Amino acid sequence: MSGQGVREVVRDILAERAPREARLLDGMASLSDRQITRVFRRSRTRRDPLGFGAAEVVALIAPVVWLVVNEVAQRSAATAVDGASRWGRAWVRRVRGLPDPPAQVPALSGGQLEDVRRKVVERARASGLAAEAAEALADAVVARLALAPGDD
Amino acid sequence: MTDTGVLRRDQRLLGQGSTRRCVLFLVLVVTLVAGLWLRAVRVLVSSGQGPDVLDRPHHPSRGPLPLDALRLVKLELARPYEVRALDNAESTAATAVAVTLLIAAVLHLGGSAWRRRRLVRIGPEDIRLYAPLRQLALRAGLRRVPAFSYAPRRPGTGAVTLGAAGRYGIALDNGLKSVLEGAPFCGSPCACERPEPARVVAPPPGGARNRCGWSRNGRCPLAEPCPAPGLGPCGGGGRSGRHGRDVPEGGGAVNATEPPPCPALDNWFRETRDGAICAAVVLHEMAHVRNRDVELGNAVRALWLAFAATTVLPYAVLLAWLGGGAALGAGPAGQQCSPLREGFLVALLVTTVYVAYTDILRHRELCADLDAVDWGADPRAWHVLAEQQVQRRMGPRWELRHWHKEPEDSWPALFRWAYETRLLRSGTRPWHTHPGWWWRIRALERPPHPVGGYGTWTQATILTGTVVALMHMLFNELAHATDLAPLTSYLFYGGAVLCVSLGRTLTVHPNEPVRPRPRPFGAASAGRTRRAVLLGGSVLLLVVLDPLGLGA
Repeated sequence: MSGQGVREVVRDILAERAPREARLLDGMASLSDRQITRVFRRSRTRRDPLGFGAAEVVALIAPVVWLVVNEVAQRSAATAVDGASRWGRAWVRRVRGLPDPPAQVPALSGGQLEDVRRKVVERARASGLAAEAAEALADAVVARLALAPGDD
Repeated sequence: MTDTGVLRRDQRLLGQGSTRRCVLFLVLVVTLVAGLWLRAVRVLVSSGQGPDVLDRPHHPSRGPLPLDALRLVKLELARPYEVRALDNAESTAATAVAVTLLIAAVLHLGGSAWRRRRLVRIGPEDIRLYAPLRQLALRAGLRRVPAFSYAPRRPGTGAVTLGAAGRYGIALDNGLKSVLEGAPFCGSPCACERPEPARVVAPPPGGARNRCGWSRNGRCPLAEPCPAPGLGPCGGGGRSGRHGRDVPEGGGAVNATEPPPCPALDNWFRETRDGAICAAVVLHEMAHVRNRDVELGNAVRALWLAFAATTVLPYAVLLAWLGGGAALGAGPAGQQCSPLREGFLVALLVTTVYVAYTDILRHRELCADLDAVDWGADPRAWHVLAEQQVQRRMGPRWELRHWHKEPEDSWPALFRWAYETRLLRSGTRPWHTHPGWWWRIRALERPPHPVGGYGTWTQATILTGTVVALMHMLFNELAHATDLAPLTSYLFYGGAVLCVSLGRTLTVHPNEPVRPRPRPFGAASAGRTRRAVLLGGSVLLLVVLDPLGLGA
């Protein structure tokens, strides 16, 4: 199923809403989508004996947007291919040291977009964003997902 | 920053004696490895023997029997592996020491290479990032600019110093790198280094072809190889070499050892929140490089990890096996020593080692903070970072300004001050390698006497404690087999008393002359006779009481 890449979608949203966090995502170009998901799920990294600075994730909206969009893409992939086949292929890729293919975000229906909007607001509020900012972010995410590939 | 007219205190007093403490830490770990392996053999062989085998009325009943006593009853031991263990006890301990040192060396030298595999290099060709970092390196007075990289998997705004054997690097978190990318760009020249100062000369005919030019788009326009050390085509690859360059009249690259002035970048570091945080974090790490903390910190950490892997873990497994067997009734019958007591003693020793390790690293952190501020970092950046880190833990009504207040002179005021500062939550934990934020921010205010001329009481206590543990292990484990038992107890208790009386002096700053001073346990310095009587009396009392049972 063709669609937009998760990275492409998230980057477009961040470039509009938080340019610095878009640069943060650009710095993760060498990581796979799975690795980026793991980074954003962790709220704190291990402290080094000679380290200094704030170790917590200081990005506010990048984790929210990435995790929601990635979840949409993963759910779409899960319904397209059965679980055993998907895990089997993932295992073979890891054994052979091949990179994971980038997850694709399919075109979404109106109901699915509403669902995404609600999830973005929930997660944004949970991460400390004000209500208005969370609503504005959710609108931006939905607007971007509603664009078909090539409509930029 | 220091005020005019105020004598600038040497903040290295905070880290004084770090090298000596590192050497002592090394000796302590080596002795503990040997001592604990010998003790493990004693525990293993003593456990499961019947009381008739081990009935030796002249030996203390506390803990496992000494090796010499066990060797006397070797033929009566229950299991054959116990005989082999006894015969090879000393060589086993020596092998354990060698393996520990080898693992520590591998971790020290190879640890940073292993960690670098996940980093992305920031080279001179990434001039947007490299130029501000290089400017900060010059502020810090580093003769050799460290290698820079960033960690894509770390989204925070921190940094860490890596390296060993003189080759150091600074790895920025991805979040800090993205903040640094927002710094103003001044179109600085290629990062070629000049070993000699510039000489203003007339420009050569036909234009200057062999000089680094100004780049306007972040990329060096020149294609010929850059003779600067470590750089290839200006902005690319690497080739070593030294040369001098002539500067044409009227401008151009003035002195490529220093980037040209960039007021916008200086203002960004000084006047914006992001710039201040970047400067504070990077200059702090550069202070670690300049103070050689990387070698010290990595070596101590490697030693600790090697000690934990080769000695603490196997000993814990042995005690668990003995204790579990006794609890289930399946282990050796008739155990003489309690695994719980052994476990408690070992935990105490290991805790002392770990606290000594973290104390060494904590004081180097404070030195690095003060150096960073001296090189231009804004102390308010520490406030911002502290608030980011601790706000949630401190609760909604806590404010950072409470940390700058002193308590008034009354009990209610003291309790109110302790509540407002959240002292228990903001204090330094002994097991942390970094000081607590309260201590860090107070240290930046440069109180007149944070430690005095002899180091802190924590340093003295830990130093004394480790030396005492060292001597106890040495005399109890290695010299007990001889008939010199009373002499070893005299030596041990005499040494312990000397350590307590000299402990603080061992942390003295190298420039501070050692003079008779008031001793820690209360003896006034006046009167040599009084001091000698007190010291000699302490030794005699300890020998007579013999609380550790060394003289039996």
